Amino acid sequence: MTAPRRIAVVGTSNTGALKYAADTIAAEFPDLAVTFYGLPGGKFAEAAVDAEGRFRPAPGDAETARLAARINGTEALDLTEIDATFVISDTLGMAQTLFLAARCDVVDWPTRRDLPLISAACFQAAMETAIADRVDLLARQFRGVAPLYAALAPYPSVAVTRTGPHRQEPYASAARAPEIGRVHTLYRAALTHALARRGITFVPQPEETVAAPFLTKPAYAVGAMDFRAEGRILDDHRHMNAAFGASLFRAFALALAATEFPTPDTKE
Amino acid sequence: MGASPYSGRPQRAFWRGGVAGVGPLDLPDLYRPRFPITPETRVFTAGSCFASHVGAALKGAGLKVIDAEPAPRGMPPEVARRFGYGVYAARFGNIYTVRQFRQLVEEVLGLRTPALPVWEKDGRHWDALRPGVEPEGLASPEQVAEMRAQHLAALAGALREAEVIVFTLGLTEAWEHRETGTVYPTAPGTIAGAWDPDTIAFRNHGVAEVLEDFTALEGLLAQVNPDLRWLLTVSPVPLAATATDDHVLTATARSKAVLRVVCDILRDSSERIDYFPSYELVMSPAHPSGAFTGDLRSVRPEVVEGIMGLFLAAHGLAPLPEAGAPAGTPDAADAAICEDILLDAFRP
Repeated sequence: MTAPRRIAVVGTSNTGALKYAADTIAAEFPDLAVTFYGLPGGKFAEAAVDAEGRFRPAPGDAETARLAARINGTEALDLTEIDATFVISDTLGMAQTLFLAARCDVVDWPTRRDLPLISAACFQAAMETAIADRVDLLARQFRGVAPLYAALAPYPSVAVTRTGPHRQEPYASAARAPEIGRVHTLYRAALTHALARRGITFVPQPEETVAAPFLTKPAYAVGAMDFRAEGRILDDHRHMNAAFGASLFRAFALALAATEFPTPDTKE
Repeated sequence: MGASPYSGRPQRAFWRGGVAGVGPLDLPDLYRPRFPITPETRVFTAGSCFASHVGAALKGAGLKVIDAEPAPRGMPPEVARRFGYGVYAARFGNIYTVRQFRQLVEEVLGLRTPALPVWEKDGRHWDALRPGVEPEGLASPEQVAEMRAQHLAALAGALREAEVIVFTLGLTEAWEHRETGTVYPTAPGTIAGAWDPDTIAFRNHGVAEVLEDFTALEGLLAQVNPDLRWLLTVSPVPLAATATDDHVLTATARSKAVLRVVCDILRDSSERIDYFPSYELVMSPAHPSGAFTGDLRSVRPEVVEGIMGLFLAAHGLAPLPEAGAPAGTPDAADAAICEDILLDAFRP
């Protein structure tokens, strides 16, 4: 019998959706042994793989190390013992892209809202640069880790608004942008390319969860729980629930299946 | 020693003690502002590529530097700069000659329609009057026209809003449409467009022409903004290439001399016009290792910083830089964007 492939799901608070789907994942993918490791967004951005191949909080950050141990049962995750790593990352330039989409008309596109005009070349350059800044950081955090897969933080749910308790600029504004579908296509293509150039496979948010470009169906936000404390419901329409986590993991598993990499028996 | 007209003159009047023997940027009482610039002054910056340093320094000091076409939120700073956002008061790119500025204002006021406003290259289209702000060009001449119309509308507001225009005069050499007199910031064929000597002529403006252009420019703007004041500077950046038969060093000296003379004449002509000697501060022989970087064109960042520090200090907007204190090194991204360096590609 072949030993299960060892999978690490690493990332921000959005790892919670997958963590709370652990039972579903285990039932659907008995050939995968999944370990979860999450840190709050800001602390995740400071964390990185050390010289021994262990993903850990920033050196000297004892408080986050304690938090990591409490949430994950370990301060650091040894990725040398892992066959594939799936990172649930931040928004990877998405917010900047959506601000542009919400506040500019692209001269090359047909619709006009009497907003400042920018060229498609400028829009593309801005989007690619915003993505590259974040993807470079991701690549640095996981230097030497392969194979590496990455998903965006989930799109917020369609319930988000421009103001109020579910305020999520720029998603709420960009939702009304007439060319948002085009922006979505361009963004995903640019992100896929940027990640691939750095040896990272992009795992897009599953279509079944998407209500509209850059927005998630609200059902996937209901009952979302805080990744740090089981039972604490977030209901912020930014974090998603276990159903979302299971769906995203299925998308990852499809990408994984398409990848040839050393099995546990042959990996050195 | 008997009386002399030089008796009692201040230290600043003597080379020794005024330049020699003091630090290159410690020149005593070099610049005496004719009118104040305060944190509340609405400053409009324009000019050749050296002018971008002026705008950056004024912004850095917290002045109300006009930005009529700001980079939209979400645009990374390096992309914004590459596409001409935030460099000057609006996205007009480098204005190398006084005639170019005059022509731009005439266009804003509906008095002129530029000839050959769109240049084409490999199926892309450039605004011939500001080819540097869209490095990849646009998809059609119609897009160029649409973006230019929006630009001119924004610029019109900026010109009305301005209290002081800081204008850095850069060049006298220009490329002019023979039939209409439209001048272009770069020669056709450099960034885009085609070089056709039957259509485009080379002009090297002299003192009289530059004076006439500035007088017309000032008069036009006075109609829409009667309280406007001007702060003139001359760019110390040498010509990348000359289209005259002269050596480029001679051509540079001629060009800068013309502009420097014009500034003096204009300053003497109106209380509303002042001059800041950035040119002199760079060209001063007091810099122990020269004021330029290895290309002998780009002004060393610490020199730029020192010059702008003097300017701000003279207006009480910053403390005087400490004598001999090493200036910080501004980020390389602050380097001026000069289209004329593209002329280097045409060297033999």
